[in-house]
Amino acid sequence: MEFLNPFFWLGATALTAPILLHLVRRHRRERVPFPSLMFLHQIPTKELRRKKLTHLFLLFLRCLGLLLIVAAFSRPMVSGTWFGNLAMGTPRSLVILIDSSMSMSREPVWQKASEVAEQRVRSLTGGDEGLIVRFGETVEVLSSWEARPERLLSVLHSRSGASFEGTSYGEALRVASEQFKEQQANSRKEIVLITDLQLSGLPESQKWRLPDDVILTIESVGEESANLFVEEVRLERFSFGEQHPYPIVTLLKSTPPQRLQGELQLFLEGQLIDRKGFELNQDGTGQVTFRPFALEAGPHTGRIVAQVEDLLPADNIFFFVVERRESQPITVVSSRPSSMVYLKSALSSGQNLPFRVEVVEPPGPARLIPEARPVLILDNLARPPRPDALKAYVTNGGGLLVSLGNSVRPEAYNRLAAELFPAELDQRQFIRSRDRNFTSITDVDWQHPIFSVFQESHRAGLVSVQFYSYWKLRPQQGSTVLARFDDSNPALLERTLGRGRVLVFASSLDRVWTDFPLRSAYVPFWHRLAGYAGGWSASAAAMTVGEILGSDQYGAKSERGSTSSWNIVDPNGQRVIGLDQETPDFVELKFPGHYEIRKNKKTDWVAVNSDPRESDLQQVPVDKLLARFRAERPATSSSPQATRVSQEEHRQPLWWPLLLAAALVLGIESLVANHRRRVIE
Amino acid sequence: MSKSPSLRFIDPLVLSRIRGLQLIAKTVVEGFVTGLHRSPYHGFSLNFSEYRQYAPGDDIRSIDWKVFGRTDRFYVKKYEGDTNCQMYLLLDNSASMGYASGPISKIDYARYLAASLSYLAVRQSDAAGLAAFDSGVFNRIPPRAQYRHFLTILHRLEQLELGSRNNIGEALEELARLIRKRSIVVLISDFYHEVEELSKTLRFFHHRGNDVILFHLLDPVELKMPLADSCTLQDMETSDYLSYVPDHSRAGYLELLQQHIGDLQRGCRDARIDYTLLSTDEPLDRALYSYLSARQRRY
Repeated sequence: MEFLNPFFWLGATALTAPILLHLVRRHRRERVPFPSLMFLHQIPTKELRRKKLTHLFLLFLRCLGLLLIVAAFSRPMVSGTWFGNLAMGTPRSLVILIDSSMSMSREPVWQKASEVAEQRVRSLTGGDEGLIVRFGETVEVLSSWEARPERLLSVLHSRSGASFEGTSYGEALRVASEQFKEQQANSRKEIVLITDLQLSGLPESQKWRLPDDVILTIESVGEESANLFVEEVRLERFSFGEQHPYPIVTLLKSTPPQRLQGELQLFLEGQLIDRKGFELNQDGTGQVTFRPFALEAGPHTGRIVAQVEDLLPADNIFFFVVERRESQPITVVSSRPSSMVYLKSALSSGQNLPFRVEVVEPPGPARLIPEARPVLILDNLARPPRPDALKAYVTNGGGLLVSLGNSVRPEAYNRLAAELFPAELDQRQFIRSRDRNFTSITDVDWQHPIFSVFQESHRAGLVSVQFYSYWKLRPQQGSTVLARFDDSNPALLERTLGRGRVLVFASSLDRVWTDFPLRSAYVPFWHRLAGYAGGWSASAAAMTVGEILGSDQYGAKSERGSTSSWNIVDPNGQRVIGLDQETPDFVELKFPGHYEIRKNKKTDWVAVNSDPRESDLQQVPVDKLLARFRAERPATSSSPQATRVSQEEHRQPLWWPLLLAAALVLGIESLVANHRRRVIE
Repeated sequence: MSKSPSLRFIDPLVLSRIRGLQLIAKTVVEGFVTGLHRSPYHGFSLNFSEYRQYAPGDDIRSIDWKVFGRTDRFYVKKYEGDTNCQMYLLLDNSASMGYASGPISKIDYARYLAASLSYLAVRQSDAAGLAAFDSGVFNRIPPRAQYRHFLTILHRLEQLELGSRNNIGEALEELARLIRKRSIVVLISDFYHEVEELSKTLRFFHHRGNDVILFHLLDPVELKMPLADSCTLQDMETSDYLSYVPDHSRAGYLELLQQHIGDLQRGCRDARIDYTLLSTDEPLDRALYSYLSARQRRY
C-alpha cells in the first residue's frame, strides 16, 4: 500500500488535540470573581492532575475519528498486495513512457526519472504487464509486454542515459497507446509519462487524442532551470572565394531571460581564431558577430563555444563545417550573345555565387561534361546542336535549359521531343486581343524549388510579368508543367532524364517577347532556375540532431557498387556504417558534433547540433499537457500531485470507507457525549 | 422565610427595589423606630447651654443680637443638642465591596446602612459625617446635624464608585488624624486585612476618645462558601486567581474565615470596640441597634 498524500500523516499529530483538550479543558475553568483569596490556598498541582483524564471512552472515540480522517486524506492507494488486486479487480497494462530527450540529461533529472521508472516497474503485480518506451523526437519501444519486473528492470538498466534529441509528446503517446492493441480488451490500460514537462515538446495543435480507456499519468521529474544556449549561427557552408563571404552572426539566448556575460570563442580546425565577449539583453538574447575568416580549399570543421557553465553544456557549442569551392560555369549558347546582357547580368549579381556565366556561340562547347559544365542554356537556337551529345550530357547529370524565341524551328526540336525535351512545340502565340496584348504566368507550382522563393507578396512580381508572345507547347509524357500562362498553356516544363534534367521556357530570355528582364522577379527566377538545373543549393553549415543524412547528400547513391569504400564515423568515434554493411538509404544523426564521411581517400564532414528548442527548459503545466491529449476530459488538476489524484482516483478504494468510518465514529462520539452531559445535568 | 411585620421594610431585598437612598433611609429608620419599645431619643434637648464668643465660621444666624445690643460684642448661643453626638461614617469602597452573589452587593448594603445611620443620626440631631476609603481617603464630608447635610451625604453615597485595592490600615490612620473631635466612628468594611494591624489602628481611634463601631460586611457566599463546582476564583482586588475545588478548599477557607472573624472580634473586644458581623441578606436593624447602643453608652 502506498499513499498519494503521505504528508497528510503529519495530521496524525492532531491526535494530541483531544488528549490535550481532555487534559487542559478541565484545567482552564471559567474564572469566577471573588472578593478576596485571602483565605484560600493554592491546591497542589498533583492533586489537580489526578482529576484530569476522564471520559476515556470519549477520548478513544475522538482519537479514532481523527485517525480515520487522517488516513482517508492521505489517500491510500492499494497496489502490489492481494488486497490491491482484490480492490482493483482487473489486471493492469502499464506503458512506462520515459522522456529521454536532451533536457532530461540534466542532473539529477535523469536519475530521478530512472528511480520513478523502477518504482513503477516494481508496482507491477499479479496479472499486470508492463512495457518500456523511451522517446525524444523519435520513439523507441525497448521491450515487449512483460509481467516479470526483473526483466523490465534489466531493460531499463541496459538503456540508461538521455539522448540529444528534442521532445515530441504527440508521437510518443501515439506509439505508446498503439502498444495496447496487443493487450486484452478488459485490462486496465495505463500510460505513465515520466518527463520534465518541456514546453517545446508540446505540439501547437494536436488532433490525435488518447483512447478513452487509456489512463495517462504524468510523473514530473524536472524543474524549470536557467540555461544559456547558442540559438542560431548564420553561416554558409560553401564559400566560392578566399574567405567566408559574410560575417558570422551568432545568436545567444537564455531561458528564463537573464543578463549573462561571457565569452564566445570561434574555433576552426581546432584552432582558436577569434573570441568575443557578450552580454545578453534584458530579454535574455544576445548577438555576437565574428569577422569573415580566410579559408583554404576543401571542407573545414569548426565550432563556436560559449564559455559559461550551466546544466546543459551540450547546447553551449555550435558545430559547423565550411568548405571552399571553385565556382562552376553556366554555359549559354546563343546566336546573339549581345542579347544575353540581361541574363548575364542577372546570373552575375549577388555574393558567393556557385556559378559564373559564359556565353558562347553555336554549336557551343566541344565537350559537354556535367562536372565541368553543370548547366547549359540554349537560347533561341534554330535547332539544338549535337543532339546525341546533349542527351548524354543530361543523362550523366547535366542541367539543360532551353528558351524559345522567334528563331526556333519547331520541327528540329520536336524530333528530339520523345527522347530529350519535355514538350513538343506547336505554334507561336501572339497575344492580340481587344483588351490587352500580353499574357501572364498565373498557374504556378509555388512549392517547387524554383518558385518557392516567391512567397506571398513576392508572387506579384512574377505574375505581373507581361509576355507578348510564346511558343505553344504540348507536354510529353513524363514531363511536369511547373508554370502556365493564364490561357493554360505551359510556360515552364521539366523533364528528368537519367541523373540530369531538362527545362524548357516557352518564351524568350531577352525583351523581344516579354518585359521579364525589366522585372524584379527576373534575377531570383534565373538564380533559382540555374541552381535547380545545376543541382546547386544553399547548404547549411550544420544540421540538427534527429535529422536524416540522405545517401544522396553524402554521395553514396552515385557510387553504388563500391560501398566498401564508404565510412561514416559519428562524433563519438563510432563507425555508423560498417565496412561490411550495405550502404543505407539514410543515416540518422544522433549526436552533436562532427560526423566524418570517408569516401575513398577523400574526407567530408557534416556538423550536427542539438535542437535549440530542446534548450528552452520552460515547462508546460500538467493540465495543459493532459488537455492536449486526453479525450475530451476536462482538466481538473493544477499540479502534478493533483493530477495523480484525478488519474488514480480509482486506485483508492479505501478513501470512501475510511471517511464513512470516521463519520460513524464521530457520530457515536456525539451521542455518547450528549448522553453523558444529560446524565451530569 | 417569614419576617416579623415590623421588620419587613428593612429587608435588604425589599430595600433594593426602592429607588433613592433618602427613601430607603427613612423607610429603614422609621420602621426601625416604630418597632422599638423605648424611645431612642435619649439626651435629646434644645435647652440653652452657654454663650460663646463669635468666631469666624460660626453661623451668623446663631448670633444672639440681644446680647450684642447689650455688650456690643458678638456671642453665639449654644444649645445642648448641638453637641449631643458626632458620628463619622467610614465606608470601605474597595473593589472587594462590589461582590454580590445575589441582588445586593456589599457596597449597596453599605450605602443603605450608611444612609440609614445618617438619617437616624440627623433625626436625633446628631451630626453625621462621611468618608470613603480604599487605599486612601476621599469623599470626606465633615459631620453636620442639618437635614440638608444629610442630603449631601446621600448624594455622595449615590455617586460613590468602587475603588481599587483595600489598604484599610493606612486609610484609617489618615482618618484618625482628621477626626479631631470625639466621635462615634462607624466603620463599614469587609475587613480583608491583617487583624493585628487593623486592631492597632482601631486602638488608635479608641485612644483618641472615639467610640468605634465595626460593621463587618460579608456576602452569604463569603460566609458559607456554598460553591459546589470546581472553578477558578479571581481576586477582585489583586486579579490573582487560583483553583477552587470544593472538596479540597471549602473547609480550609471556612476555617480561616472563622479564625479571621474570631481574631477580629477578640481584637475589638480588647479595644472595647463594638463589632457586628453583617450578612448582606439580613435586615439592617441589627446595625441600627449597635449604633444606638454605642450612643447610649456615650450619653
